Amino acid sequence: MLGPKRSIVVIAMCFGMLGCVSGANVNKAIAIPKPLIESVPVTVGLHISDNLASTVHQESVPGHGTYTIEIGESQEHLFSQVFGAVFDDVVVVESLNDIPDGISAIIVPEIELTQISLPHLSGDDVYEVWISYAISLLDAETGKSIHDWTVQGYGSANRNNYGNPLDRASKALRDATKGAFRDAAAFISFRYVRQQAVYDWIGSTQSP
Amino acid sequence: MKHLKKGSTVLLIACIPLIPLLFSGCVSNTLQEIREADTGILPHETIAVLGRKDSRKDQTESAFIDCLVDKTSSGSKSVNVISNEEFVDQFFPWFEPRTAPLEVGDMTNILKQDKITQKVDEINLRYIVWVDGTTQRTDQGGTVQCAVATGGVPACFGFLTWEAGSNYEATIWDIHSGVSAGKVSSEAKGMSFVPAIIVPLPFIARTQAAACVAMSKQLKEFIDPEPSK
Repeated sequence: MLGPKRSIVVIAMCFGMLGCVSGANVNKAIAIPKPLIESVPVTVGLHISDNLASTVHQESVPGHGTYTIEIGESQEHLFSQVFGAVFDDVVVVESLNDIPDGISAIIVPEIELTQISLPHLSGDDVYEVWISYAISLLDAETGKSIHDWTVQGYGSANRNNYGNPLDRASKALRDATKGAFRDAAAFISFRYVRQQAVYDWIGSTQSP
Repeated sequence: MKHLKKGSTVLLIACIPLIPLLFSGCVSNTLQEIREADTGILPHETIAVLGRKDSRKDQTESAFIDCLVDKTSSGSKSVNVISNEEFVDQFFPWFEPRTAPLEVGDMTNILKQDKITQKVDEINLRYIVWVDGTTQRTDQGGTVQCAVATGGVPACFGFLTWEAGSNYEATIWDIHSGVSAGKVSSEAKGMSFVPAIIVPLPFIARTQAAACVAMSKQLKEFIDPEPSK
């Protein structure tokens, strides 16, 4: 049993720890559902570059620690889910120099920019994540660009929804990142095949 | 005897966080209802309770949505409820912050999609309940200061008070008839205070919990106005 003085020291240490909690780490893959949309009867390739697969966003905020989001780990799943719903079939292409037969175009996504906003920076209760993607559609035979598109995903999470101050920042930042993935996925799901160049390319694959 | 006193002090400190469970401040509740169409629900039908997320800052707290789901799906006149997370996952990406229908007419357009109609039939969805609102501190005053007194025992002195307001509104869409059936709203106000003479004694007004309980009862009555059997 702890005596009263030791108990007070323990309690003081606990409060000290709460006060010192800083930074956050989002290091587990994030899953999204497969979009519930009608697909286009085309098979496409999907190439996830090493650069995209290893993307880590890190920001050090003076006095508040380092905030790290391992974004890359989730990207193959994210784009397989989205384009697997947009098109009838998606084949993951490991190398752009070795493209399987039956694929007329390959989708190559990259992250252009990632930004975060934290409650102590914005002055309100919201953790926010913005991710800007550049999505290229390449002709499988020539490697030339058919279409280039920029898509932004935004997600937010209110810190008041997370009780435990010890892991609040990590959980909120994870949910905000998930929100940004879902937002980008929603936008791609509804808008990708409506892009004129993509629409024309789909038409060319359907012609006899 | 000395050990007993020390033990009592430690016990007292350890029990401080439990005190709010014993006392609570006063909460007053105001309920309102606007009915636009007749309602009713069959035992196999489901309602979805969703939080509006189109506003960046004033999003309804997930604790309130979870509470409303829990209270509406239990107790007298309970109905089958699908939670926010489960619903938006099953209907992804139609109910994301940027894509969710804002008017019941938009919902009718979404229902023209075969895959959506199949999913609606699969879960027997009858109503969508959109919840808007937050709990906010409206006024506060006073201070409580704590220090370690002679002998190493912490002591607090002062008086802290604040007023909180919980304002929530639920809009009910009838999926079968494609109309807005109406709205129910719950407003709870309460004053919390913490007098401290050595030990702080928090009297917390649980306005959000009160608003949730009141709204869940009102929602069940609104959806199924028939007297319970």
